[in-house]
Amino acid sequence: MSGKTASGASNSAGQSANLAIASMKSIPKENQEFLLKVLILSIIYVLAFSTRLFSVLRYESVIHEFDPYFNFRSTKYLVKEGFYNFLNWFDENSWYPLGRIVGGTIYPGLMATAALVHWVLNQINLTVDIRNVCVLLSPWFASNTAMVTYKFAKEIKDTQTGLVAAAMIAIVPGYISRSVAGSFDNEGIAIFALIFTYYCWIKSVNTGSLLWSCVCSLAYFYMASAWGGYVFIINLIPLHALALLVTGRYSHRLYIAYSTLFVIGTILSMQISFIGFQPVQSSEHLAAIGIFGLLQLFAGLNWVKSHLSAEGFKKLQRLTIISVLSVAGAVLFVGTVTGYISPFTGRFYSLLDPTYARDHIPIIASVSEHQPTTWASYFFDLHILVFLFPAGLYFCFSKLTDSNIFLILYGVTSIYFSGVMVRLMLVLAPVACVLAAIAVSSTLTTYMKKLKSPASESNNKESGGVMVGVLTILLILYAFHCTWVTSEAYSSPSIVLSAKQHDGSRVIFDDFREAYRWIGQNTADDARIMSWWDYGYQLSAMANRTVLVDNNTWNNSHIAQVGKAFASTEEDAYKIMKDLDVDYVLVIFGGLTGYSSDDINKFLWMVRIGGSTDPSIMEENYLTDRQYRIDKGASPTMLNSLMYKLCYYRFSEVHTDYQRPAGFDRVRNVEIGYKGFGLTYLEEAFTSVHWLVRVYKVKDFENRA
Amino acid sequence: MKSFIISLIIACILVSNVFGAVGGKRVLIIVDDLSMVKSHSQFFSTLEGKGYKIEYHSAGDKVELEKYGDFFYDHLILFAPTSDSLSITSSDVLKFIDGGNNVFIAASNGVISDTVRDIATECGIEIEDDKTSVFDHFNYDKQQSEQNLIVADQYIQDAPIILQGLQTPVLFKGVGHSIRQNPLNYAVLTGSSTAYSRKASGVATKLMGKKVGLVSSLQARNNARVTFAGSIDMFSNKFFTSKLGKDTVGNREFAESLLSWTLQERGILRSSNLSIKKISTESNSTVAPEILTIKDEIEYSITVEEFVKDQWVPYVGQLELEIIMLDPYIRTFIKGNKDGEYKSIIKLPDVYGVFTFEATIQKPGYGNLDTFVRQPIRPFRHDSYERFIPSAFPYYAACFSMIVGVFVFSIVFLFHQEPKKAL
Amino acid sequence: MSSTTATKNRGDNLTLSSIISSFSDSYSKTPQKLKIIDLFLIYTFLTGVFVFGYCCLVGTFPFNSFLASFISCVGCFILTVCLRIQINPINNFGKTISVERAFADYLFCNLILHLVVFNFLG
Repeated sequence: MSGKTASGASNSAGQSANLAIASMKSIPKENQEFLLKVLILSIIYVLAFSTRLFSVLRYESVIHEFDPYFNFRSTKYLVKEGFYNFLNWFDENSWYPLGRIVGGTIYPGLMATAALVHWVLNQINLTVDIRNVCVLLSPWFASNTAMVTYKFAKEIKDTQTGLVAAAMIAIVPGYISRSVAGSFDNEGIAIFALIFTYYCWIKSVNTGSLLWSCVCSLAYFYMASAWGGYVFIINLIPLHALALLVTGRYSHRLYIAYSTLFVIGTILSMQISFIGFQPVQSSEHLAAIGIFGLLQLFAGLNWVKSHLSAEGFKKLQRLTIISVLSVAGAVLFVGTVTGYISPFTGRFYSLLDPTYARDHIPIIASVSEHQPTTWASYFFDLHILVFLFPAGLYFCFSKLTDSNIFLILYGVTSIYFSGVMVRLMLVLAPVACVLAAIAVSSTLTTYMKKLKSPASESNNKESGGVMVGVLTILLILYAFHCTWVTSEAYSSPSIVLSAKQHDGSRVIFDDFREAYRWIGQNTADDARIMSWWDYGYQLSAMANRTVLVDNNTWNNSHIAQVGKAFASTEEDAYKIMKDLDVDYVLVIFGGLTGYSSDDINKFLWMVRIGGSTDPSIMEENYLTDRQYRIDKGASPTMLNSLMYKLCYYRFSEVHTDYQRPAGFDRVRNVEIGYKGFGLTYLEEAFTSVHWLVRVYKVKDFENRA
Repeated sequence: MKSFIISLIIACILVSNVFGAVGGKRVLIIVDDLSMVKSHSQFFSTLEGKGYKIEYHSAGDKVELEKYGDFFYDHLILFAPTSDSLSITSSDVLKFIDGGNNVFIAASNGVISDTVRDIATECGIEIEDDKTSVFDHFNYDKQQSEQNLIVADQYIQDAPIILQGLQTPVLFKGVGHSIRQNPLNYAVLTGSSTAYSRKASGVATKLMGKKVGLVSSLQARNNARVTFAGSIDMFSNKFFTSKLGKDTVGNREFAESLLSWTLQERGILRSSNLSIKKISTESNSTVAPEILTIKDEIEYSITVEEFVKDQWVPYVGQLELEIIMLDPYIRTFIKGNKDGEYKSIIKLPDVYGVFTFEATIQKPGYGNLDTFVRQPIRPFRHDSYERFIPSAFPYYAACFSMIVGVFVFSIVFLFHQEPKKAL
Repeated sequence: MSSTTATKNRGDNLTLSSIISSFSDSYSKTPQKLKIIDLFLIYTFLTGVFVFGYCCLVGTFPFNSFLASFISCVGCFILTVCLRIQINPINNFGKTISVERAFADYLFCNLILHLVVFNFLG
């Protein structure tokens, strides 16, 4: 009886499974596709968000790095004070005593977005703390970017490409590096705005509708409010228009799309105070204006042509072109010569000529994100996309359409710029994903068809199988690589460090926050702290004290004063510090723990920047035989500089390693050269547990002297 | 006219924040032995009449100046230059001075103890070697055989508050010292151009002429006053009653003025009621009243009092006000009215930043007055500019006309019907 | 002989005035709706020229007001040209974008443009 029931049960189970499969097959094909598409897209959405959460899971929900702290502080101010007060915010706690007009020197898009999300969530009674909103904003926008990339690639090619592109961009390390949870920086939302703008642009060129052009200009406005890289858009789109004109693909849709975008986009972008009047005055926007004029000319001539005979038109055309070109040339010449059209800014110029910054502007050259990209980082950040990129370009060339041309131009220009600066690898990542997706999906389409072909052409079936197999393996390797890179390289909050000990256990260095909390609780409310500009934002945000210089680096001579103070002897530095009303000095010292991004390693930059305004500080004085040393062979200027003394004060009492003498620096791997000295004008106020952060108090003037 | 008072927003920091108790009355007098109390009784009696609580101790006694941060005395008179058995060390005395209290030390031409030398060096006074005296072969008391009882009248000229216009010369017999050039030090009495310092062996030292300091003072940054006199005998009853020809010497007046100045009976200033009121502003009313904007007009007012005869009375003089951000942008002198109020209406500069409003009075002999407040001066808000600019009216008109035009055009366009073609 | 004269005659026709007359002949055949649009375009153009001339005269003091009004004129001009292109039956927009849809887009764009212009004006 039971056996029969059991088989009966299994029979019915099998029957119900059959029924299910049969019912699946009976769903019409479009609905099947739709279901599959939605499923894939939702998986991609969740994947993009969750792969960026490594650091939140390992450490805690904390803001990373340096720049995001300023964005976080600004967002807190915006949430507390309201939008108009934020736009008028004069920050007297940074760049003492000059102050900084924050409202006019930032791109407010990021703060506004975070504040809006915070407001919306609070309105529906989900009281999420603003810090969590800021930490998790970038991953959420990364998911949105994946969705927009899907639509972008779909508009250019087809749905399959869109899905592959979305999947690739969800985990590509080049994008993850700047959008991981906790990295609350402009690029997190800027890439979303970038792809969205490009999607609207392609859509408006394809349809010629005014509505899409207007949406494109609104997207451009959002991009301009989010990141300084909006200049890329306003130069790439005119380039695309020019390419279309040159290849004889002029059409009314192009005219409608570009003109509307230019006019509405320009005036929208000027609403942002930081951008101001640049769109009509700086040379970075000249291309856009030029192409606008050119397009008007084209359209006008076309219209006149439709009303005239051929010869008459030719004569008129020649006349018009000559006159317009001469007028435009004269205006350009006069504008540049009289200086009304401002020349390229240093930052932009260093993009075109990579060696410019190194020779002329040491501050720009010293930022670590502005260093040129190495070959290894291309592979590290893009993996298989590196060689799928040219394959995608080939596919684009084989079937040229208006949108393909755009993709080609985007790809080539972003390759060039990503070679100049590591930071711009971010701009390359989306187009690499789209082009690679084109390659992958075209290949897969061809070979899957071959797989499905009748059995007689067995060669085809084999080749199809091999290609599909290879591509599948490549994609699987890609997924593994991306996840590994995210976990190992891009998920460190850099405010909390960790290292593996001999026995494999992890030791956490939370010195930075410990020091900032000490400062916040043990110094006067209006105390002024001098440190190198790297730590300015963190000090302002976490210790809530006035700082002299911070990461904005807008005033080179103020930074040079601080550099001079660190590079001078204690007595000279005391005079400078008293002039600047400094109460405390903060240095970062890695000699005990082996943390290599400390102030002694950055010291040569301080000397260079200080020397750029004060010729008495010469870099050679701090080197011996062109070498940078801190041991017994170091130059006396180096050994007597304030930075050396503040870093190594009392360090000779410490044994860092059993086999080494006292005062052994674990980063430079030498024993320090000048030991056992005292400080006359400063006194030690705080040293963190692992000696990473050292705070000194500046003494008052001597009572009797 | 807007007038709102700002309370001291960012801490109004007085540089001299350890005033001690100006007007404290506890005096510790340390003498070599108690016989000196009798021999210098006239000098010490100047104190008794003014309500001071005096304690006499001989050099060997065990005294403490402070315990656990509290000082037992407000003033110290140290008349034991040669005693080696002082129970207070030089660092005790220096801590005493840094705590805002006053010291009056006399030396002699014997073997001066290390304690006294240390204290003197820390105050910028280098006492000459042991057993040296100041000689002056042209200005000496002619009744003496040795010419080291000199008649000195080179008083300090630019700080009249110390000696209050004394002209009569004084008798001096003791050791000289050299003073450093420092605005904190006052050379109260120096030798004349013919004075020089000579060792017992007869060899002259390098110190000579007007550089020989006979009596000097230090007024520290916290207004504590330290006086060094090279001669302990010039305060004795004998010298007080000596005569030079027909006139009595000026030792008594000299000692009295100097002592009362050193004990901070006069010449100490303090400020109060600092306020910065906004009178008019070029920004509009959405700015909060206590926030300063560029190009505002403010009224800066401060009250300064000086300590005279145990009371704080208004000080009428001249105050220097500087408004500084790395460099002074405004520097004015304000004269006080009879109530000691210093008011001035100032137009703030056109530069924004965090400015320090520093009021100083630096009159020689008077205590320092250095009061500063840090205030940010903000730039204009976006709605502080003119709302409608007359020269831009054509632009406004053009925009409105465009809008009207679009409106009219759309009406015409929508309701337009193609004219029927004539058949 | 006649052919050469004929060529010469045709050569003479290519003067500026003859071009203009042939142009106006061809233009008069356009539908009236488009002519209304052209009227509005001329009005916009003249306003733009006036604004620019005033700026050259007086100087660029309230530069934002100048830019706002100038871009408002240019923007209206461009948007109306785009509308004309989309409505003109010669260009094959009829299948993808109907006249009503084109006009609705036009109004939307104008709304955005004038909102921004007003924000920039003061």
